[in-house]
Amino acid sequence: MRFLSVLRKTLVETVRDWKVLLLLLLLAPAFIFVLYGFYGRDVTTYGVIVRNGDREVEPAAGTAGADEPAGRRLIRTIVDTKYPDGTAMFRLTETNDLEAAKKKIRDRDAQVLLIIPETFSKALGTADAQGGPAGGTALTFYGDVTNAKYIVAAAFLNAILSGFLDEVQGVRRPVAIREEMAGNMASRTEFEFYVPGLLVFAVIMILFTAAIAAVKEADKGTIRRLQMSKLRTAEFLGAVSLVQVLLSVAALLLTLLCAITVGYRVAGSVVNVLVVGALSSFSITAIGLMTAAFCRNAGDVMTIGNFPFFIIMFCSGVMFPMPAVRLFAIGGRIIQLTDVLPPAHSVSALNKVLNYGAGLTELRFELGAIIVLTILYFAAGVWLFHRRHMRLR
Amino acid sequence: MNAGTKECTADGIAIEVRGLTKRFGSITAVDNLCLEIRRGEVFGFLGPNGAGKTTAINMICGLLRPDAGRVVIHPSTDGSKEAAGDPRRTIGLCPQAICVWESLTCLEQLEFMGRMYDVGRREARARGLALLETLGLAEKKNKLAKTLSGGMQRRLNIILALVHEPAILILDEPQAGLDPQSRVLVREFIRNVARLKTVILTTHEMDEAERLSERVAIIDRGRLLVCDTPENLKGRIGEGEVLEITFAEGQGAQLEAALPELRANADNVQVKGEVVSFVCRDAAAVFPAVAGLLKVKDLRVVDIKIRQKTLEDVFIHYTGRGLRE
Repeated sequence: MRFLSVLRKTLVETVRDWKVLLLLLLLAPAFIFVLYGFYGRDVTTYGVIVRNGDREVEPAAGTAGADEPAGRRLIRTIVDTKYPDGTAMFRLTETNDLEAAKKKIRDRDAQVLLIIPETFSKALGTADAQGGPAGGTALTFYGDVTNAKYIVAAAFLNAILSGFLDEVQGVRRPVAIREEMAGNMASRTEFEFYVPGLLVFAVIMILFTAAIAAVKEADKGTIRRLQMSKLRTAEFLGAVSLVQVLLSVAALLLTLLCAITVGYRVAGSVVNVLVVGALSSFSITAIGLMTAAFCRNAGDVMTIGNFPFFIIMFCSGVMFPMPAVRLFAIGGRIIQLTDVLPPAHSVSALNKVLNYGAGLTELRFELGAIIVLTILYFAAGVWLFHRRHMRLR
Repeated sequence: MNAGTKECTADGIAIEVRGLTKRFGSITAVDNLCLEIRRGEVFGFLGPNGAGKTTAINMICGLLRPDAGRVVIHPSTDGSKEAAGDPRRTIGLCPQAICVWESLTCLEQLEFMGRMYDVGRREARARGLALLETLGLAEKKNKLAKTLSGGMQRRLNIILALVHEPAILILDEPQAGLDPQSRVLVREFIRNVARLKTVILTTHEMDEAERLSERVAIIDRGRLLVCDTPENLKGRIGEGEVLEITFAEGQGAQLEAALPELRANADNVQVKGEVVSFVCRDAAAVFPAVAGLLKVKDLRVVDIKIRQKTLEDVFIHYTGRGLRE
């Protein structure tokens, strides 16, 4: 069978071209170790600078926990806040130099500057039992909203402060607010947050090798021999693509194993991760074939290929969430602009498997979307490649 | 219709080319080319670089769509299934550039090409080994193509066109870049192949075309100038040998003045720079008269020789230019 012969030949060539093979297989796993080196196994500890201006007046009789000034107790509460595994959530430092503290926030040496006002204890002491307004006293958060860690730290601190104020004032709210974290996110380390992105990165990398594998036949002129033979374009590209998918799955598995080795916890099945990865690889390979249609040699691929590569990396949510641009809705599900990119669904599917332990049936939409998009992209890739490199001129 | 079609009968024709034309923008690469290539002959396409040989070959192979005209590949008389199918399957093409899979061994790529034509794995391997043997590459069968010398790669380039046993073999500049030893090997190989197949050879080297081709088509600027056997072509520019005189530089005016008298001694006089060639029935007999004239006109001569006519003389006769100009 011609398909199998091309498959075998492409595999042999790939193995013999070991530098590209190593790059493909080892780049994402290498990043796993680099990130692990940066972040280690620790959960994220947020840096908080406190300027405690509280004039430590004696609290009024009748307020709870009245043997210590309120500012000091608040600081202790923050310091004592821990993750379920016992790791401190905040790394707290106190300062009196506001300007130096703000500079540290701007330099991202810490995430939140908490300013406790002079009247903090007094305000709490004069508040009525129902927690009515003391008036004119405010706790201030200072932070950089472009720093994603500030958003998270401020949210955590806000919850702690609300609880603290309720407790000090003896307020019992008619409706309690309870926070539950999806999946096992609460105990995720910062390193673990980056792993899904690296898994998708391992898959996206084959865009280049798929394009190079296809276009090098044109570059070396061997495509003329294939054009003269009985080989059909679909057979040729199908075999080349299958090899890329195998390589991609191998890279994905290797990346995942490396991550697990250094402590990454997979909530779902590794097999499901590989299923998502294999389907995603087909779609990326199809984009690689489309790229190859616009290139004449490997050098072209390394330049022109950067356009689809970065579009995928930035617009599919691999690196950071993209704003939703609604296109239309199907069966109550909103279809966004980024949904036309298969990796957007790969990210979503991997997130569900890795963090929430989702099974394949729970990934119906994502897998369906990847399959449909892959078929469309593959058809476009075959058509474009044939038109550019394999048809009669 | 050109001279090459005169003696053909329908049964003996392997390829018919009718009014083939190809334009690239404002350039007409092949202009109304008409040919009939006979079954079993070695047919030479001779012309300078850029004459349109490769474009014509690509259209004959089906790799390039003509703007006008058509190519008819006649099935072989043995009625083989292969020949009756897509014309491209009956042709083996050895491209001008070396087109090999660098990371495959010699034998692997021959097997692979065989498989691309649905030749069984064992058969493809057997054919590959036999072909490697014939072109002196048997010892290199397990070497990666990228480790072969340029000459060996070119030999591999040739046999890759043969593994599916095509009825017609097209060799586009097969000897370009070959060392003398490989040239001899390839020449013998082409002669052997020609016993069984129709061979079309493009070259700008008239010696090779003359040595190998039974008939030669001379093409220039996309147009067929003439097509016949090398002997007949040489006969068209006059009988006898060529008396070739190379003059010292800087005698343009004197040479110009002497030309009318020099022409009186020969059928065909060609001037290319400082070189003047006369086609003479009896060069030895003409030589004393020419030598006397040179003395009278006080023309300084660098070299004088009497040689046989070549296809280059034919080309110069028809175009006024050399093949390498």
